[in-house]
Amino acid sequence: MTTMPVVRISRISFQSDMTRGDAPVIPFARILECVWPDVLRWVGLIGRTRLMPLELDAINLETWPEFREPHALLSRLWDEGWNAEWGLAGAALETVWGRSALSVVTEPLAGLLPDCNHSDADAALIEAHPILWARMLAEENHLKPKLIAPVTEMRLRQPTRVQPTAARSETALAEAA
Amino acid sequence: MPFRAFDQRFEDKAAECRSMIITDEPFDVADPTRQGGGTGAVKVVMRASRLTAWAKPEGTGMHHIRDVAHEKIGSDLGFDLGLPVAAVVLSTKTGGKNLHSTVALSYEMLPGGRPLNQIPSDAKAKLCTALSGIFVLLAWIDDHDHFGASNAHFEIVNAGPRLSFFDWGHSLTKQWAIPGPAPDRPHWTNPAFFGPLDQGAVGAILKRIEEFPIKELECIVGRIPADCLPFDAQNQLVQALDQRRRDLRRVLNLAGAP
Repeated sequence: MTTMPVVRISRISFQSDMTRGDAPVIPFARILECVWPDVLRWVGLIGRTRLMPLELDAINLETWPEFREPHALLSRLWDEGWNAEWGLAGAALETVWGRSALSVVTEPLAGLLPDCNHSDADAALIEAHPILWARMLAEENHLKPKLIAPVTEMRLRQPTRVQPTAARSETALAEAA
Repeated sequence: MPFRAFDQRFEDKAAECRSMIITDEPFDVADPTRQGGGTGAVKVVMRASRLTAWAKPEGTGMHHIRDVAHEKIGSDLGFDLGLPVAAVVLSTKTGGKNLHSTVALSYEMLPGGRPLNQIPSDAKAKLCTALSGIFVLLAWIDDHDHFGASNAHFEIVNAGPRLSFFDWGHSLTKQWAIPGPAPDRPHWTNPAFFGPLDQGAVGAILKRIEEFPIKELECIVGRIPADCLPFDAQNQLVQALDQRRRDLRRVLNLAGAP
């Protein structure tokens, strides 16, 4: 098997206001697809099964009820990607969701896998799998919550000082005398 | 009969775009690392307002240059008819962006929009009036590209669902062999996408089209830059639009519409 694999990554995120260029973009999932044309296909998905309350506030759940159950939405995205033609998982998702608030952006990952001249598909997969798996897990760093409640600094309580009263002072003076 | 339900800021932007042909506001490509999205358009951010838009056509090739004219004419006609279409303005500030020297900028109009083919049936029923109006516009400009994919959005807000239609590339001279009359053929559409039509809305938009001032039609088409649509093609397009609107009731009847 001398054909070179093609690797693509699709970044799936939600634009909290797609009319504004400076609105927060909530990361949601990544799909990594590797294809040895007509021979072998590897697809992985990593995504968020829970969104933060502020992120859910930024999503119009009337229009996007799927975000009430992120895991079900991830399953749907996986099915749509997996059922697409080989090498076109991201393109298929773009066709379904194109231009909408759920943004799908796909780009090639060149140079991820070493040149391989394996004679059979199994050997190619054994070599490529750990690399693809590690690359996909590395995307976890880009799937952190975007909108979280601001951290407020707690004020330290100052110990109350007891000020001597005039009466007490006088008593103390009298006792001293 | 209301068809549009955009936020006021976008109604203001739409009126501004309708009043002009080319904007001076510079813009930046939203994601410069992205090489071709397959949608024929590039997402951009306007530098002053921070509003987002889609620049068409994608790339520097000339074979889609008439899309610029189609985008602007389709949007202006839709706006004048009171239909829920995205605001479009042209720009020549495209240097260094892998874009043609003139592009059409089609504004995003719904903050949380999603593709119309995913709309729940109860929400779609509430949009029957607006969809019926759009149906007539599509028939007039002979649009062949709106069948429920990614070039129409909906959004559900407190006041109810609302629509935004955009992408008029596959219409007008893409369908009509200019010079020559607009073809006398049934309007192509996907009945399942538009559903049962609101006869009142169809009649209202038909009337607006039939009464559309010819001078205004000439103005909308005639201000397109000649590098996007040559002057002779502009004159022929006005004649074709004028002829097709006279046949529109018959064209729609042939398609099974009232």
